[in-house]
Amino acid sequence: MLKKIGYTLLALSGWWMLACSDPEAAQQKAWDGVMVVHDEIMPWMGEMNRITQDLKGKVADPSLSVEVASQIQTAVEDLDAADAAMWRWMNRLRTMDELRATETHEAIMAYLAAEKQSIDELKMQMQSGMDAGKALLASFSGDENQKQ
Amino acid sequence: MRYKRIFYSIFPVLGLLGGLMMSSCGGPGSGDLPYLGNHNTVDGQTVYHQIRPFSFVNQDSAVVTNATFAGKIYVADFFFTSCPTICPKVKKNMLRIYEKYADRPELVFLSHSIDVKYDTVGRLKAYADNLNISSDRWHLITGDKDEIYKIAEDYMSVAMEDADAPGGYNHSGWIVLIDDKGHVRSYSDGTDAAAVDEFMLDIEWLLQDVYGAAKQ
Repeated sequence: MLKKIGYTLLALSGWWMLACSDPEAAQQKAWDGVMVVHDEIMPWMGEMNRITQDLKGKVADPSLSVEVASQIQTAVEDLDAADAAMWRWMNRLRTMDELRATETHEAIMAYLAAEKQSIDELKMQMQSGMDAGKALLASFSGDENQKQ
Repeated sequence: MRYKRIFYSIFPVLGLLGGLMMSSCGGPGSGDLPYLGNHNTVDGQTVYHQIRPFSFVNQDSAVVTNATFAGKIYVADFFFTSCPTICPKVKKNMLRIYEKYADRPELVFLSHSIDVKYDTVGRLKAYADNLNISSDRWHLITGDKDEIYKIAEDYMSVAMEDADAPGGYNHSGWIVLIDDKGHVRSYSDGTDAAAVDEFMLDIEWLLQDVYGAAKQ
């Protein structure tokens, strides 16, 4: 019985070592990790645009105080910056085929680790831009409700 | 006062039921394919949701407007050339439709790039060449960012109401079928080959409905 368990463990660890030592599998896993975040945040672009448009619509209100107008301006700039950063990131991201054709395994893994960090930061930038924009818009609806 | 309250409480329910009935029963003359989207009633006539007027530029720098699609039915989607995941899958399935209906010039394609900064006309042209598609039948367009985002909501509002649809029209992979009058008639997950096969049945039906039997 113990022998059987021993063989099973040996086979499993052999499989695990083989999987981990397969450079292409490791690269793919790292790439997929980047893409998961990309696919999660890409749909936010439409929402960011909608918030931006709503905020720009509010700026036209002549009764706005200078302070609020400035808050809107900052929120719009932050959203625009997040939008531009996302497009820049996507357009300079190198494909796996391109990386494999030109780089060593170590360089690919380092590149993908750096891109994972970049996309995580982008996610935070977009989230924070949307949160700030939504909070501002919510404050306007609060004001409108109070007027009514 | 009491009646008013009752009216306001059932009004949303009536609206929802009305919307469901209109979207499931279809419009005049349509046996199978419904007219999708929100409808209005003007002078007792139902006005079906229609794609708004647009003007964009395609991969040949030619201006593309609603008039370009007059009398044609088309498949629309949203994409960007640097898209690493969903768009290539959608394009592969759209290409299947394009090739299947190669002898039906009445069916055309409209792909909107949402990356207006980087997807220049030249880049769209290279993308089109890579797909080996003709600009007579498949327009890859760019234009004003706000206009593209607005029209995306026009096309995708239908898909976005679907509880099963992934969020965000600009990376959802949805493709939409528009009839010769600019009405949304069907949509599908463009990343799913089986769903696109079903979508092609809708195309088949619409071709038959609008143009009659296929040319021999």
